[in-house]
Amino acid sequence: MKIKYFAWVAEIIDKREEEIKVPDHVTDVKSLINFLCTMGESYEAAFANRKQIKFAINQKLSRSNAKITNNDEVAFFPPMTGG
Amino acid sequence: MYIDIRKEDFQISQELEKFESSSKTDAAISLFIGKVRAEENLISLNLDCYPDMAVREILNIAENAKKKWQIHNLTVIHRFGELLPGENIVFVITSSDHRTDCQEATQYIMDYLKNNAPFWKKEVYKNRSMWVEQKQEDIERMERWED
Repeated sequence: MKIKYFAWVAEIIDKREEEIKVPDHVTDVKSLINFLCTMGESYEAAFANRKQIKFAINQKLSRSNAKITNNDEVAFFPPMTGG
Repeated sequence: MYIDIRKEDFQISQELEKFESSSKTDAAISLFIGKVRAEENLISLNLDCYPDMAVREILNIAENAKKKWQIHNLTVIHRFGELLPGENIVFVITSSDHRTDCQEATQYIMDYLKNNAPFWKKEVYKNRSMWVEQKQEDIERMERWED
């Protein structure tokens, strides 16, 4: 699974993107976040306030119960501030 | 419809001329240009961006605007990267037969773009930097368009 991070989420995790093979029990964004939090303190810190994190599956804003597979691209970021 | 996500600056007069020449039969054109505020001690505004999603999301916003108003032509240019005070950030232009259509469509595109297009602003000052937080006022401006 390709995972991308933006803005302060990328700064805290200290990565812009990574390729991860996720275990079978990771079937939606919520379980993906739980899995990522087991990967280290920086992940835990980035996802500490989950209400502040938005996510997109294959470049489309999604809900936390949206289904994902290892072929998807999932991105995590704070609320947008464009324009 | 033309959508461009880019690092490089754009020339306002050139973009306006290009748009005008491809909208010759339209009676009304509405333009918005967003620039980096020249705040005291601000060194730069760094915009992070998810380019693939930005194109997709702006296309979606533009398509929705076209469903709501009689828009014949539109261009959205949005920059990312390190921008200096006074530099251009965003250029939104629409054309129609009547002014209300293009004026409202331009506002609608900006209101949605601010909250839904994947860009994140970071203000860089001499001794500190901070990510800009989404404003409740911007969310409310967007929500007023909801049916």
